[in-house]
Amino acid sequence: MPEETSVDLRLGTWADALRGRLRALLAELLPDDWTTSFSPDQAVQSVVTRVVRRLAEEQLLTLSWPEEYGGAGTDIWQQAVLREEMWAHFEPRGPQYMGLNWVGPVIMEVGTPEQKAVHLPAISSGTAVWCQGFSEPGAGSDLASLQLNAELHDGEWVLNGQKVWTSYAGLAQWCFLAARSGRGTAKHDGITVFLVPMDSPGIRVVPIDSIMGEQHLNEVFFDDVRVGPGAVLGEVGRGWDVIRRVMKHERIGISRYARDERVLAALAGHPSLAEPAALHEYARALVHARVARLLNYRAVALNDAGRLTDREASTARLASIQLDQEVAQLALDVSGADALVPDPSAGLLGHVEDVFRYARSATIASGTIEVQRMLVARSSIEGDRRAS
Amino acid sequence: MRRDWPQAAVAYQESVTGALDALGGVDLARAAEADRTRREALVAPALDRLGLRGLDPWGEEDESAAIMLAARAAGAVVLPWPLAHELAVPADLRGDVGGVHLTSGDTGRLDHADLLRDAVAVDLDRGVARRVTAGAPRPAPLDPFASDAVLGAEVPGVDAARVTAMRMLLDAFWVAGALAAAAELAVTHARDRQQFGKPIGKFGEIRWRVADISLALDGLEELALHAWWLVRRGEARSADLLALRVQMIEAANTVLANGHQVLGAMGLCEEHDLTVIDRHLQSVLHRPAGRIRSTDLLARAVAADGFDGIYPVAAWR
Repeated sequence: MPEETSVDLRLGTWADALRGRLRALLAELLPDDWTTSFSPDQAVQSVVTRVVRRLAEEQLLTLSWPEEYGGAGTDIWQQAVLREEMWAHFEPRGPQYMGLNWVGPVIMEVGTPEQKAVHLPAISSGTAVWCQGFSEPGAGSDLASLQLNAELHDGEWVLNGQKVWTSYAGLAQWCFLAARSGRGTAKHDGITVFLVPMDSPGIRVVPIDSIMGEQHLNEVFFDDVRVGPGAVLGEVGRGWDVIRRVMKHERIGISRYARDERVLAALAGHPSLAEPAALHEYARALVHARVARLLNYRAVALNDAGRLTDREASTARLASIQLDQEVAQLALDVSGADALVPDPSAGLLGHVEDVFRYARSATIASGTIEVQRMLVARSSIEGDRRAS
Repeated sequence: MRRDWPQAAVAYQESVTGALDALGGVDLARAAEADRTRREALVAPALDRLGLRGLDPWGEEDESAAIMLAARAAGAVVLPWPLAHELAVPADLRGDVGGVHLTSGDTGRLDHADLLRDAVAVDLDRGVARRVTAGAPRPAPLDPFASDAVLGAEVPGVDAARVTAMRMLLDAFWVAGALAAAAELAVTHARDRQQFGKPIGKFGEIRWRVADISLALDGLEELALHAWWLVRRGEARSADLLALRVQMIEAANTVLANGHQVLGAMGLCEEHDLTVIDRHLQSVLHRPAGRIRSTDLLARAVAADGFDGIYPVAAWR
């Protein structure tokens, strides 16, 4: 076989080294019963802080960010491996992953020099927590129908309205907020994105208890919240372009398949797999996990080459979110009824109930499965659209 | 990571597609089903002009890739020729072995058995090759080129694992080509067919089906590329090929079922290519084993050998 081939699907020996380094670091820093970073509990958030600061110190937090923005300037694949290992370990970067995966990159793409100077160093050093102010009571999948009002008064933007399903709102210092600043011929026109300090007067956060646990979901109310013109990200009224960029990063930003592969590996040899029906479902899940990973790798490669379309981005996501629910259901079935109660002493399999609860949101969060299907179908029927 | 096929292989695929389209595309399958002799009269000369039957899938990267993409192009018209059977024979055995069938347990019929001279059947369970003696043709709607077949003595010198892997790989590319053609038929229909005053592709129900078709097909394409690359590197294990086979069958079920729903009654007609593709694919989807048996074989292989991944599954039996 020639040494230099046209097709080479290896990530490289560096990937194994990076995985080993990350797993060793997480084994050192994470408690044995670590499952979630969403809790406002001080002990949990101190773990998050410890992990993030350590990753930042070792230049692992923003591997693929350009050096000028505090990154390590490595290629997109190292960031992909980092995402896999973080998600496989219940995202110990906590809310920081949003800043790293899409807030920072979008600010790099469309932010002003001042916005880059303020926000990028804070994100890359792990000191800023962001939340995403997109969904509203009347604008979920139909995000462009959002109504939170932004009006210019005396040189300041005044924000009034409500956001909902906002993860980490109670912990965040900043909100990446989509608001309606005007009306255009289409509902996608007249939207503006603002970078809003969460300690601004007039912001009120109300937690919502959910099946996923604390802090996953919140309502955020904006009553005469004032921000300066420097808070606008991108062009006034052209916020939909910014949101599409966010969606592109989000769709390939979460490596759900990695945690699923870890769960499947942990299930190997489980006594319940002596039952042929269970073993068959297990084998099928392994196939689906590999397919999901390969479709995600395709999206990363095409994104790197500037050729990613809605079809590949949303296909990768469809595969991942369906896998997440398949593996969660399988893990709970195989583990048996006792696993409905968490068992911190049982390692990863002691937390399959957490995996199951969280997987309920997989086909809803960050664009529902229905929207992802619509994007794939539209791309197939009406022609490919670039994902940004 | 480099995942683009070699340009030479892509160009060869285009040549194969052009040649098969010139022969009538899926109509060639219809013609051969009506008169079996057309396989040798029409298909064999075309394949020889392309030089396809003489290529070696274990050869250099460009050659091996060209064969995979050619198998995909042949699958797109459900070519009435046992191409995968022939190409899965290692070059040094082609004088003695005319083709490779795969079996799992007893079998009384094989596809294209009447056409292949000196074929062997490799049993997935026992890992041995046996001589095939063809009997009378037994054409049926879902098995248009079936013949009675009797398995005889073991044939020494056949590396069962090696030819099994290659045959399964070629089958996957063949099916991927057929499913891509079926998907294109569904997408075109969704775009063109008007009901209730607008293209049916504007309706959510149809869009979801198109999305599920795309996901199934893309998953198979990516897994086939990955499996081919593993085979090239000598790193493919039995479970890797069986995983490909399971994905192939599941993808086919999804694409064909949803394709029929999108196309409605029209797609059920023999005049429509979807029905011909559907019927002619069933043989490869059920030989050597259908979904349940293939999944069982995969499950046993995983338990015995493990399964590679970023978190590898350890063997436990």
